[in-house]
Amino acid sequence: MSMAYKINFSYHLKRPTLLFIILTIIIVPILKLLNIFTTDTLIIMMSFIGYAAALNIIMGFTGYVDFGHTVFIGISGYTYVLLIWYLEPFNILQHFGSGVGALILAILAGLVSAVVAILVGYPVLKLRGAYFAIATLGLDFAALYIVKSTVPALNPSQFMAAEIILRRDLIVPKSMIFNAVLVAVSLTLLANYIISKSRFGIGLVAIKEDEDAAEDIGVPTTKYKIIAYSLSAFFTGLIGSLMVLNSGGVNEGAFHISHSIDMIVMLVIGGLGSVFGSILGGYIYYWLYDTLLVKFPGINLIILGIIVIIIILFAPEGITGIISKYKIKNIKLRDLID
Amino acid sequence: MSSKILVIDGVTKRFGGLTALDNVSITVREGEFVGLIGPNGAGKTTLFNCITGYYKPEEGRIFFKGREITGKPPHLTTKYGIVKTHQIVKPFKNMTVLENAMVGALFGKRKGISTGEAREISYKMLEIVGLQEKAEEYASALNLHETKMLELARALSAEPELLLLDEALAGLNPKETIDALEIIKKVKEEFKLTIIMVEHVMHAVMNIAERIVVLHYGKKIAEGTPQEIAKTPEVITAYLGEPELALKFVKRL
Amino acid sequence: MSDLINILLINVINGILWGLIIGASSLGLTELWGVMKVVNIAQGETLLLGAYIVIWAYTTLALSPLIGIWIALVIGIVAGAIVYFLLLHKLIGKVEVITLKTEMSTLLIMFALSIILSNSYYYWIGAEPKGLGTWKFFSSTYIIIGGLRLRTNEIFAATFAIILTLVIYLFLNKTIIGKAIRAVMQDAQAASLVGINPVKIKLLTSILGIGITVFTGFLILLHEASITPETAVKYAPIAFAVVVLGGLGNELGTLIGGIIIGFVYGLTKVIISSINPAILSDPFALSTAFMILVLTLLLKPEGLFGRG
Repeated sequence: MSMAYKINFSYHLKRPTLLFIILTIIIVPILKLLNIFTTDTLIIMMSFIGYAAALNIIMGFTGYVDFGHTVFIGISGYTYVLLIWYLEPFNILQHFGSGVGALILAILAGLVSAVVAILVGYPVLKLRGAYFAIATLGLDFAALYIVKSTVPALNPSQFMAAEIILRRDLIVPKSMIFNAVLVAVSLTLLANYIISKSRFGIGLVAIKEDEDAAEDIGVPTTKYKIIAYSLSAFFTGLIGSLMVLNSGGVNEGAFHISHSIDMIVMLVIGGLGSVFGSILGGYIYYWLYDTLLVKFPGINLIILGIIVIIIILFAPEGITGIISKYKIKNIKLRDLID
Repeated sequence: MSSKILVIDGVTKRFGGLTALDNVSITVREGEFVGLIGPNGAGKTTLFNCITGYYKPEEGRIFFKGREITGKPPHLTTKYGIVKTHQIVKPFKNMTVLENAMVGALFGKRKGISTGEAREISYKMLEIVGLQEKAEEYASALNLHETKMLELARALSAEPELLLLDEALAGLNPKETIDALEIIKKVKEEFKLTIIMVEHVMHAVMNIAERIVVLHYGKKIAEGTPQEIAKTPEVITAYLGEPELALKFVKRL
Repeated sequence: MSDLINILLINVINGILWGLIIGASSLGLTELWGVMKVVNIAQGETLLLGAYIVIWAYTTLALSPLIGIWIALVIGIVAGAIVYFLLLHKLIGKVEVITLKTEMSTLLIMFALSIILSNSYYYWIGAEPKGLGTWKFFSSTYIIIGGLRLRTNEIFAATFAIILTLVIYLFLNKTIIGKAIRAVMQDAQAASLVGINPVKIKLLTSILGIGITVFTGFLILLHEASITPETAVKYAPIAFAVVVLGGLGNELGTLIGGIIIGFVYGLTKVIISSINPAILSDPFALSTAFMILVLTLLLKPEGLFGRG
């Protein structure tokens, strides 16, 4: 038998996607150096891409629609701020300059989300389709209300209405946050890349295609789903913590459904199920969000909602799906992007 | 006398008030080709699902190569060496034909297999079933016959010892049926498989199987060679109609 | 001691009254989900539509809410038809068996709808709290039953809820159209084989599901002092909890689901505030609704009275 044929793993990250990832990681710092965008803009933009990529690990690869994903921003956000609050004698943030301290704490906060994901994931991932989506929504709201009711009890004078503001004497330069976010988002993108090239990733996609057939052919579906869910939670929490740092504090808004909306819309626009699509979706959504906000303030989200409806009805595979249908010089673009 | 590869001991499976399997006991020896027949609803697919672990029986135990596998999940039984094809085909539609088979190779019996090795095994299986030309096509582009062959190739890529074929011939025209049977025979020979085949296409299964087990309303009502089965009164009453008709099927070999 | 019992009773009873409200306001949702497998993510916003219409009729047209609700119903019926034709028909109109992919698409489309509605409210109505002000159903705001002070508006809402549930139940189980809807819910393929036109039924279900939800929006007004667009975010997930607990497509189940959740809410409030006053009892009590939701999905996904 011949080894000369070319294997074209559809779910294998093709070079353009890798290029896209590397480009993102390199270009963003360049943009900052050249002062083309403000540091804050870049931080927000990176977070969009990061969130999209993080959600992609569970939603894109396995097809499980997670409406309540924002719960991990909340859990990690509060953990992060509480960590800083109670670790103040050690001054971690200052201790490691240029963002390392911030990143380490964010990793810890992300791990908390990962653990929660493993614990709830085991029962909740037994549900399929809409039931899973609604269950995650239930989790988000349960967490929201529990946090809302118990956090003030920790420190009634300081944590009123479950809002925790970072200490005023804590000076966190934007460049430090930028570095940390850049690393966090890069890690998330690289994780996507590694997963898509791995046996684990193939198993996840098989789950998406036909979960029963995947289980029958040997894919350990339960284990894989939980791992994907908890990785997704980790990266969401990681980035979420840093964004909380960027905002200067956390409140119940961290659990707000709008974050889930952002993340899901990014994936839908970019194209559900593709790593390329999730990154593209992040960029496009950021640009779209910003443009609509400037040009049509007030009704910007209404227009966005209409766009999403049009995509679902007429282009359900998102922009990646549209691109896939074209060819350049006889190479089907579908074969190039994952 | 070859060893017992599969022992089903007193398995009962209930769904609410319905008893799908009632105290079923079957022993299969290594290298056998067993046909599992019975009218619709007799419990054949349910039995397969109990073997693979998709269902857990309420009573009874199942042993594979001496090891108890009752209730172990499908992904584990696959790794032990039991692979099932589906009655209604379940291809991974957005993957290519080769990739479909590769999933089988990557998650099958062999541990620590590399992508390259998986590719090799899968391609070989595609060649055996005759799908190598379509390796790069998306699975959604195949017709029914090809998809059934893909199911088989994917199952074989997982390197099973016991292959469970669930109505693999359903929906095929006569020529396709003959082709499929040839491939199944070839595959059994080459990989030294034990095969249990659920089938409604009577002349095919009575022809190819060495031994037939008959289920009816969840109970095993008969067991024996195709010729014996064709003459067993209970089977004829339940299923095959008149005795002469039944014998004609057997004579059609 | 009798003080504690008093507090317990009033919280539990108020909880149950609220439970009846959330039960009735979830009737539309259970129909949509049970019959068409369409989960109305925009449930909260749909309720608010009815509430805002009643407020508008009251403040702008000086019409009593008892008249305003019928205006809301008409608008709700029209909205149901629009939602079906614009959003749902393309996805599920001709389909007999709803696949996972279709289900997820409808899920996402209703998600988009909720974004549109929510932001429309913010834009055209504004974020300020709006309400019925001093309108009350009965001449006095409170009545005393058995030594407990209960708001008349709430009692009225609860009674309305029960009656509405019975009406819907009778319609769906005793009339021919209702039975046709039931048939489609059980087995769309079989239903079409016996001559029931699934598209018409789906259209009807959409009208029913959304129309009822809009109609019951005003019940929220009777419980909450005022509403903002954010109120939708509070009530939508609660509705899911009610419907899942009760069993999809089961009207009486929904009402009972509401009662149970309301009861647990009231009880939790009392327990938490007596155990640890530092914990805010209201949000904590609300969280129990979602714990019930998740537990039900895990342990008995068809709900207490589900049709499986």
